[in-house]
Amino acid sequence: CGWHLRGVTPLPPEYRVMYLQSQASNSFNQQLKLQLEFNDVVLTASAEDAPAILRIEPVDIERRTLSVSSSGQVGEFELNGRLTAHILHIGRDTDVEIELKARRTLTNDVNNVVGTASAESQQRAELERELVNKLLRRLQSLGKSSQSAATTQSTPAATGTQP
Amino acid sequence: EEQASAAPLINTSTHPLSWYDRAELSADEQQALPEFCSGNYRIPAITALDSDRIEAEADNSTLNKNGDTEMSGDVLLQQQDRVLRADRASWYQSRGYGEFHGNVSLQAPQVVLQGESASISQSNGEVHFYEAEYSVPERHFRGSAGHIETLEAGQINLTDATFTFCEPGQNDWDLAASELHLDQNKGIGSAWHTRLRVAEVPVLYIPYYRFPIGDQRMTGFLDPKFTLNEFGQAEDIQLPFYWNIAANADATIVPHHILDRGMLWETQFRHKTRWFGDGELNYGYLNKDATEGEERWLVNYQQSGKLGAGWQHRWVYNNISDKDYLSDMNPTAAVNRTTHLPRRGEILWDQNNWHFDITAESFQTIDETIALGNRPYRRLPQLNLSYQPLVINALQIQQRLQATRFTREDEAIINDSEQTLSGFAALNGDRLLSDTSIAYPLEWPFGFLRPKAEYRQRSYNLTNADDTLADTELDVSQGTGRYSVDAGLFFEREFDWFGSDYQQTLEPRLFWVKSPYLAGQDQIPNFDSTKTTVTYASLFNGDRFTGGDRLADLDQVSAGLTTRFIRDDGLEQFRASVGRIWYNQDRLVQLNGSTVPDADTQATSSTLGEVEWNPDEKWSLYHTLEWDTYEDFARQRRYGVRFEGLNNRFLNLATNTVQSYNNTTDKVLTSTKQLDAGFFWSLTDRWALVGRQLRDLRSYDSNSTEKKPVSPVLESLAGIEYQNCCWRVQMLYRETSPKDTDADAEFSTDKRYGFMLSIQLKGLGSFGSGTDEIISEGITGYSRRQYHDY
Amino acid sequence: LPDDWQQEMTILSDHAELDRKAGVVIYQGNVVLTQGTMRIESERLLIIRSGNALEKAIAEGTAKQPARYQQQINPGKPLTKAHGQRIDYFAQLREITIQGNARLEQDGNLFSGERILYDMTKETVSASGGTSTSAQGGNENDKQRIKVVIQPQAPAEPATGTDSKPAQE
Repeated sequence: CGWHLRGVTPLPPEYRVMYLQSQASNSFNQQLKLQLEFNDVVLTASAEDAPAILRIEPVDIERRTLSVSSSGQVGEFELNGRLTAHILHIGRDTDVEIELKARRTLTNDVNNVVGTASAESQQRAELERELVNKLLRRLQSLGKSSQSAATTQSTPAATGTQP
Repeated sequence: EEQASAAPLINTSTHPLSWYDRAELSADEQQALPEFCSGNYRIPAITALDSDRIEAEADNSTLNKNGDTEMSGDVLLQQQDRVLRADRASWYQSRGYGEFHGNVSLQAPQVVLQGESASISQSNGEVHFYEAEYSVPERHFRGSAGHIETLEAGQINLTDATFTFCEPGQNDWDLAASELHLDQNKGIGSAWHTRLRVAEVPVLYIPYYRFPIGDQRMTGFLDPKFTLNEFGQAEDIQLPFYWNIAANADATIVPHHILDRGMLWETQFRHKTRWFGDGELNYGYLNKDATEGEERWLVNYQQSGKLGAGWQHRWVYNNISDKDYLSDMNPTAAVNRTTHLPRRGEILWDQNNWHFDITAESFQTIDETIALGNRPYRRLPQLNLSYQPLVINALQIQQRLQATRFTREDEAIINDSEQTLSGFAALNGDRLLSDTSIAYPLEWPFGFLRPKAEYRQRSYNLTNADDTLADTELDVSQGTGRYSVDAGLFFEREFDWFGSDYQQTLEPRLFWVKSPYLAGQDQIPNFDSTKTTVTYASLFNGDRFTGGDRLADLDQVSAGLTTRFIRDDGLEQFRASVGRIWYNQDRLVQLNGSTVPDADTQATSSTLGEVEWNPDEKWSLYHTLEWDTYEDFARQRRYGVRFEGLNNRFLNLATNTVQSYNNTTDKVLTSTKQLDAGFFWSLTDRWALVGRQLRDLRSYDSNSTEKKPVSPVLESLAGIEYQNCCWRVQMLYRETSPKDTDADAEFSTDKRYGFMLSIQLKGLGSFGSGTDEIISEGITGYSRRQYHDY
Repeated sequence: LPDDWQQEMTILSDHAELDRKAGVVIYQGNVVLTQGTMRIESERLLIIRSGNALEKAIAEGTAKQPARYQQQINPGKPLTKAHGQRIDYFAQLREITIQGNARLEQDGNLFSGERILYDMTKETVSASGGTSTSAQGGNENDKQRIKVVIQPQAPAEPATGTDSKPAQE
């Protein structure tokens, strides 16, 4: 019924060489660079000598109270991660905006503040990893949508735009 | 040389203050204009003259022998990019000075002035206007003044002036001041003897006031906050007052009157330094609380900065007079459920794969119901050194070293009764932690295989042992290995779904991990470890604990399957995962003590499931489930619907249920069952509705000793927001249930009701007007709200 | 110069004609009238005398070639120049009126408009819109505007040189 092992899904040729301009954290950038290079993307040292720029805004992870325990303290926290990235192509003058979200829940143990804090930082690291993978999948599909659209001129801003 | 034959007729817009009604604007200008604004300013488009010559035009004019020109009859005069109009004008060539009379108007890109009379001196470019009105189109503000003097470099001085961001003809609010100075380069306006007027009725007097007129958003400006309690009394009035101390330091002083308590003085002092980065000191002081009868204060200090070459530092210090300060002293803020206030200093260094930091951290526990034995240890200090490179298809060696001194008090007065710790609970200790790992992560497009071998070593030097621990070993050094293989495959197929082509993936994953049992860990205090929250992702993180004090014994295989439906533009429209762990042995290592609960003897873990569906960019629905297959009940069940639409429409609706099983009574215990619903819905550009409720759906059986909240409505918000072109008001009704801290109370929470009114003067006030924070705490996505402001 | 009007007046032209009855002498073709530093060039010139003193001279240009006037009013200043379809010189009153696309330049400042009056003794220029003369062909109610160009006040350097720039607004 059509199942096959995933083959190589390279980024579209016009995005094969790009400059990464990221305001995200050190760990996020390290993982993103690793995944981009694994997908044969050449990252240039400066923006001038790259036809495309991947611009990443700071990864915003908001912690909010998910539930209140019967004793009136915070029972569970919710971590809402949000990543906004723009991939600009100088030649084609396109600016595709990518908006990604991810969620995590975290039990709050008021009797173990330091433990909860270290659990939270681990969950935040996992959120960042999940956002990196989602970003990669979106970049890989850039090729598909422009090929399928088979338009020669600049691909319009992807429908992924958010208000 | 031959002058241009005839100077072109000088073009000048006939729009007073360069204000254009909606109909006169271009299509996309109208589209960008919210419905409640009746028009917009346009920066005067003037083709500047190249040299400094003045070109004028009039019905008639005379020129005398020393070059002084008199002109009358609709005089138009242009110099570079400034166009001036007057009924009569006289220009004294010898002094390079001109006077103008009779509905004089000056149009320039930076400012538009209109008045009865004016004078210009060409030498220093000074322009004086009398009985004038002015506007700065670029910043959307206007006003009037007895005398306006524009100096060079964008400085404007006005005397007995008014200033507002409201549209011409709409005087809902303005600032009247005897002296007003506008510096457009720094984007700062300063005013002396200022009266805030609402519909031209003075409501507030401020001797000196400073406000932003540029993009530089200066937080904490005049932003009055009022809260009324259920009896209509003003529960809380705050009137911030800004003080500009120096170029790199400023302060906001807030006289904050709280009902039945008195006047709390809150100051926030901010400074920027070159070497130590930016700092902020918050100090609140109330000398005599009307109800409590004693002094109440709070100190909060934060500082952070970068020292270059990968070094940075962060400091936070908190101290508080008593446990209820946070909830008593700002009744308007979101109810504060903080139980501990941190005091932490960190110096960090990061350079590609190396990381080093020194941290000192302790906590002030302000929730008195937390027993001394459950209070956190101080880390004075903790040193971290780690080398953690990430590679693919290559050998990856990582090393982490950490040395920490954990200490805590073993006696303290809590709730004015003395508590002491003894024996095991009183132990402090130094801990040296070393994690060495070797891995060879293999990745292909169709899958991954990540074998990893680690050795985790812990050495303790326990102190403060009293005689009951005479025979316990105080110097312990032990470690154990952990071996894991994480493997996964990616299967794909293309298929058509209602005409658009999708890609479905099928991702099986296996995670095998083994770590030999290390005995005696129950003899070591738990300084910073806790159980990981059980989620689908936690199936694959190969540990049962976070922190450093517990090395879990592991011999298990986790299996999971994820399927995704990916739209052609890469949007993951649907994702479902299911997984479980198969254990080969009981889990002996526990957080505290060594008795192994039943759950840790079962052969398989609960089944974890996760589903997320994003019909489009605005909607997102999710469901997560932890199903206990032994007792057939849901340990965790969560449903959620989220909407983030255009023009400020947000909705979230979620239920969270957490249950456990009581083996002795063979009954399922519900510890949490709550509905979390919230919406911020803008009906039109002007009106928006706010609603929120965190409701406890749990049933409490009367004979259990557990206290229940006084009412099922834990948090609720109902409110309305109205805005027009120059102000925005939010009125909120609020119910909160802060924790009832005295031990013998019948319920675990007491209820508090309140009305909140917050006014934001567009262009002046900052956004954080109290109500915005409460709404964004309750409604996800609200923090990304678009504000109409100047 | 101030005493120009006492100087001897000379008129050159292609040819001249005396209309004894009207007491008017008409000069035609490249007419040049000079008196001291004053010089008026035009296509046609009428001289009206009362007794033997010159009362009025009317210089008319053509569409292509307007009548031109120049004079050194006082030693320190550059020449005052003007041109227009018709220039009238009232000798006794020591005034000049320029009409029809009139332009006058004095001391770097430029006047243009429909009708300009120049008083030589007081060295004042005045111009008023007035309705357009039919010769102009502009529509009747089109109020004629006066245009003036004032050079920035030059402390030391010559008028058109770069001078202290007023600070930019």
